[in-house]
Amino acid sequence: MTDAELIRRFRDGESHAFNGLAGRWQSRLYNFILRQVGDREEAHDLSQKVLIKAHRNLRRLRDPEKFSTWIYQIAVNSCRDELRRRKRRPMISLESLETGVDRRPDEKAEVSPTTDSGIHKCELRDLLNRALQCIPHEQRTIVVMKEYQHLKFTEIAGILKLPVNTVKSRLYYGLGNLRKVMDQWNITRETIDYEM
Amino acid sequence: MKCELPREELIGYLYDEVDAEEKAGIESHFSACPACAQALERLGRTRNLMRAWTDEVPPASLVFAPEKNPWWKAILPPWTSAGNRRWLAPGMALGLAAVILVFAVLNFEARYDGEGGLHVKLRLPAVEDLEPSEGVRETPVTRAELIQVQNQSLALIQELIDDGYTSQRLELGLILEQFARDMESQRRRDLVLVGQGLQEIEGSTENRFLRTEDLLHHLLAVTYAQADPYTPPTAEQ
Repeated sequence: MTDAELIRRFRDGESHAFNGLAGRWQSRLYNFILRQVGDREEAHDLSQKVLIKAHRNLRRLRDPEKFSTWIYQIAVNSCRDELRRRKRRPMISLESLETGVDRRPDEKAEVSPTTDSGIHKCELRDLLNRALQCIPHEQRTIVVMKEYQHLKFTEIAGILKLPVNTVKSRLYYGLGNLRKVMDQWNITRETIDYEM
Repeated sequence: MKCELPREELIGYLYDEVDAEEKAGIESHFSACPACAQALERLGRTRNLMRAWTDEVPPASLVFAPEKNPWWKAILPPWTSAGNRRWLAPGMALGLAAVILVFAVLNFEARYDGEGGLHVKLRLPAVEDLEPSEGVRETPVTRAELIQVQNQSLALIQELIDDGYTSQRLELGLILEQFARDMESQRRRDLVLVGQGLQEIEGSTENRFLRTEDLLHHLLAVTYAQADPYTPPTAEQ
């Protein structure tokens, strides 16, 4: 059964049809949001919020075939709001109080693992997560959509309401910036293979 | 020499989202432009590294639970949707303030006379109203007077509560009375139906007895006729 069919059923009064839709999307949303905000707990909360918003407003979605675009837009806006809120009220983690280093993602890391031993201490995914949080949010959104969500350029352009060429351009710069961070931190295929 | 390959085309090629003609053009460009080939290779390596972060399984606590709508949302008209709702509270406050202002300007008065009469007065303020009234008390209100007013208010509230309670009891009594009356009439109807049923049973039983009796008479007559064909059966037989 397609998303659109589930939406039609939900609109026809089968409220449990949304559970099917949520079950189908929650992993995709969680991973998308996690790579946007870089924090698992926040990703969990934001995913819940996105699903609740979608449930609340689903009856107002004109074209059920565009559900994917619509829910991605909700997720993108929620992440943007969360990142703005974070900028306004920067939080200091307990870890940073102990070590004197704020290691919160989305802010450029003051201390980067430049040595092999440093890299090995970090978990691989956390390292890549931190690298991703170092690039501007607009670029990160597109990198995540393309690289991890495997969306087409036209789909990304539709979600973000941007020209396709702007999407491509931002992706180009996003990947370039990631490359720079990885070079700076000495992350190579070999180190990753070692980690794995 | 400046490279003429736009980065958008390079990215399109990297993700294989170009048509065959474009693809051939880009590939021929790579063979002539080592800088672009190198850029493509760098982008490819970055992608390769990023792929090492595979999708994570969401925590088990991430289960969708629909929010419970508060009762007041059900009675709101459809135009008070989420988009408009942020204007609802300031709008209502503004409206209320406007109504109060109009009533204040029109000198609104509402009075309950204690005998079920409500008097509402709406008039423009006269000029003399704007001047201080002669009947205004000059001495401050004492604590005892305040307590007395408060007690009177409490007594009035108590009276209202009692009235409400009494009327509720009366209403309940009437409902119970009506219910008992309905039950009684239903019982009578049922008894009539039972009586009719019994009469019908009685009638049918009697008919069956008569038919059996006739059958027995007939059997006896036939039996005697076979035993002595010259002796006619008597009335008793």
